[in-house]
Amino acid sequence: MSSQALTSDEQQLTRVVIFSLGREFYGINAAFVQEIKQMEKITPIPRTPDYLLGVVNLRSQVIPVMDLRRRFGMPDAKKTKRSRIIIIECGETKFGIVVDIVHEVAKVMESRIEDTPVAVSDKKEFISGVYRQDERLTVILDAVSLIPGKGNAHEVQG
Amino acid sequence: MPMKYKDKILPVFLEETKEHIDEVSNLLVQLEQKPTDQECLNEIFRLIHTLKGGAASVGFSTISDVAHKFENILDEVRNTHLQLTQEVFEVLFKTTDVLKSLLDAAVNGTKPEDIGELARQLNNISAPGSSCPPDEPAAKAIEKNLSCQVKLFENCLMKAPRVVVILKTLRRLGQVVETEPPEEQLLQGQFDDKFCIDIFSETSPQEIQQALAKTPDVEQVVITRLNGKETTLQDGDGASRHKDNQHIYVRVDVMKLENMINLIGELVIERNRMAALISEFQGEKEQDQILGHISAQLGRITAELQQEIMSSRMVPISQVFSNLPRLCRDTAKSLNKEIQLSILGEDTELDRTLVERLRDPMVHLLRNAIDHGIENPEQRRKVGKPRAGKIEISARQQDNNIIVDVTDDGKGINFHSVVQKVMSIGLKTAEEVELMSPEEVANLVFMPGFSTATTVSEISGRGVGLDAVRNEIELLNGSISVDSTQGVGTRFTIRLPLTLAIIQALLFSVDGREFALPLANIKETLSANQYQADVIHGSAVIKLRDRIIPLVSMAEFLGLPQQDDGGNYILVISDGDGMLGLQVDAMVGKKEIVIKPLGTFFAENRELVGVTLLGNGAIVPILDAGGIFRLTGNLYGDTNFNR
Repeated sequence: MSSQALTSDEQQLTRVVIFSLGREFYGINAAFVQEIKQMEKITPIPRTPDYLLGVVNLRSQVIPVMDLRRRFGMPDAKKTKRSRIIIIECGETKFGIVVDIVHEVAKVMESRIEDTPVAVSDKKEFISGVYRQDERLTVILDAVSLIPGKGNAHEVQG
Repeated sequence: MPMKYKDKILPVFLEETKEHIDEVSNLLVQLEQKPTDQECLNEIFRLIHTLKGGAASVGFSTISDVAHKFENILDEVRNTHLQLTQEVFEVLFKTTDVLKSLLDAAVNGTKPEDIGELARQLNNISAPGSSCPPDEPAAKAIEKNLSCQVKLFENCLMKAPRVVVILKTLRRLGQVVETEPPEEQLLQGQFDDKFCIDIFSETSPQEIQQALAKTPDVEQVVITRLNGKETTLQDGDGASRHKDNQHIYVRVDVMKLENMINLIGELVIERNRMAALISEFQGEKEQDQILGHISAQLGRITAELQQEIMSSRMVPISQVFSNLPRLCRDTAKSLNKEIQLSILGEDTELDRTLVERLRDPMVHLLRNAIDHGIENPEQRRKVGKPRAGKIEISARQQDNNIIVDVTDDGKGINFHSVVQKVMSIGLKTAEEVELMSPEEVANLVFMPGFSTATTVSEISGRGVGLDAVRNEIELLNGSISVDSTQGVGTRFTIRLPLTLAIIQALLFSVDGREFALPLANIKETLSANQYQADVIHGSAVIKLRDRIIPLVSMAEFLGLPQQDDGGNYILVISDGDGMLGLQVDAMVGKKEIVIKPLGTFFAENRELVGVTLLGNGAIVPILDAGGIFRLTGNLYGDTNFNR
C-alpha cells in the first residue's frame, strides 16, 4: 500500500485509479495497478468465455486481458481512442482489464470509502466499497475478485 | 571409405577448431598484456599446431597454410628471433580473424577471403631462414632407439588429425623410422585405438612422453628404449591428467538430445495424466494400493530421468564469454579507453540453447559498458579513478536461476535525466512517472526508442541497444535489471531460468490465425484433397492406408469460421495407439519454440499447452494433442471405431 502516514489514522490516503464504463465510475487501488496502456492488438484464445478477449504481449510477458463490460454483464460499447487497458498485478497473477476511459489517480481518504450499500446488488462480488465525492459515486473494485475462480466471484450471469 | 570417415570427423573438427580460434584470440589478449608469459605463448603454439594438423587432415589446405605461417611466427618468438611488437600483435590478431572467416567460408561453402595480403604481412614479419620444418615425411633412418606406443581414447572421433599432430611432434623431436600400422593407414584413421611409432631421437623419453600426452584424446603413452636398456614410462603426465578426472565424454548430435527431451516431456505429461486418473479411482482394494505405489515409483523415476537428460544439455557459460576478451580489447582500442576485464564463474552451467542466444546480449552489454559506462582515461584521472576502467562479468547459479552480472566502475546512470528524457519524448506522462518506484524508473532505460547517450556511436548502435537486449532476455523467459550509482558505476543483472522448455513445433493456420502443435505429436501431414472424407456414425473420417481415422475440423473445434472445403491440410496426430486427423487451412512451418504456460485464466483450456512468442512479438497458442483427443472424444462421440 502506498498510503502516506498523516497526523491521525483517520487521514490515511489511498491512491485510486479512477475509470469509467459508460456513465458509471469505478476505482481500483493503485497499488494493484502496474501500468495503463493504450488499446493494442489482443490475440484471441479460442474456447474461452467471451469476457476473455485474449492475451497481449507485454514486454515478452503474456498477459490475459478481459473486457470489464462483459465481465460485469454490461452491453458492449465501441472501443474508442480513449479506451485503455489497465494492467493489474495481484501477487503472482497479472491481467489486463479493458475500460472506456481512465480519468485520474485520485488520493482518497480511506475513511471515506464506505461499505457497499445493500442497494447495489449486482456485481457485488467484485466490489470492496463505494466512495462519494460531490455528486459522483465511485465503485471501488476488489482486484483479486476479478480473477476467475478467486475471491467471492463466480461466473457472471447473462 | 576415407570420404565417409571425413564426413564423420568434419563436424567435430569444425566445432573444435572454432573453440580453438576463440581460445587463441583470448590468449593473444592475455599475451599482449604480458608478452613475457611463456606458458601462454606455448599454449597458443599448441592450439595452432593442433588446428593446423586438423585442417590438413580434412583437406582445408588454406587454413592449414595460414596456421603454418602463424606457427612459424610463434616459433620465432619462442626462439627470440622476433620481438612481440604492437605490429606483430596486430598481424596475429588479424590472422585469427582470417582463420575464423576461412572456417566460416568452409562451413557455409562460400568463397573464402583472399589471404594474399595477410600472407605477405606474415612473411614480412617472419625472419628469413628460421621457420618450422615443412611437413615432409622424414627420410628412412637406419637407426631407431625409441618405440612410442600411443593409445587414444576409445571414442576419439578425430583419430587421423591426432595422428598428424603426434607424427608432427615426434618429427620435431627426432626422426620417425617406422610405424605400426603403416603411416598411410594411420593417416586415414584405420586403426583401433592403439598404434606404435619407432623413432630415433636424442630427446629424453620423458620429454617425448610429455609432449605426446599433451595431444587431445591421448589416453596413454608408453615409451620404450630399443637399445637394450629398457625404460618404461607409464602413467606419466598425460595419463595421470586423465586419471584425475576420469569422465569419458561422447559428443552427441544435439538433435538426438532434443528428441529425447521431447519424449521425456511427453512421458511426464502422460505420467501425470495416469497419476491423476489413479488418484481419482483410488479405492480400498489391494490392487488399488499397488497401483498407487507403482504410480508413485514411476513418478520418481520419470522425474529423475527428466533431470538427468536436462542436465545433459548443460554447458559451461564460458562458451558465451569466449569472444568477450577480444571484443573488449578491440572496442576499448577504437574508443581510446583502457579496460581491465575480469570474468568470473565461467564454469557455471546453463542450458545449451541459452548459449547461442545469450551471446548477442552479452556483447551488447559489454560494448555498452565500455562505450557509455567507462569514462576516458583523462576524465577518470580528473575524478580520481585509476586510468583503466574495470569491467567485471560474473556468472553464478542461484536456486533455479542463472545470474549474470555486468558491472563497471564508470560514470553511472543519471536517472534524473532519464526521467526528463522519457517525459520529453513522450514515452511516459508525468502522472505515470509519479506512480513509479525507483526500480521502475531504473528500468526505463530498457524502453524502446530510449538511449541516454546524446551522441549515436558506431559501437553500441543507434538506440536499439538495451531494449533489444531486454527483448532477447525475456524471450528466454529471463529478466534483466539495472542498478547504478552516479559516479560509482553500473551493474546490469541478467536472470535466466536454468532450463528452458523448448520444443520443436509445427505452425499452421486456421482462418488466418496461427497455432502451434508439438512436432512430437504429429505422425504425418497430408494434403487434404487426396483424401475423401466419409461419414460414419455421423462423424467425418478418412481412410489412411488400412486404417480409418476420425477427422476433426480445427476451425469447428476452435470455433472459427470454416473454409468451404474444410481446409487444405490434414495433420495426423497420435496418442499412442489412437490417431486423429486435424484439418487445417495452411502450413506455416517448423519452429523451435519456448513454451510459456498460461495462468489461471486459461485453466479450463485443456487443449492448450501454453503460448509462444514469435520473433516479431506475435503470440501463438500451442495446442496439446492429448487435450484435443479428450475434448474431441466428447465432441464427436465414439472415436473408438478404428480399433
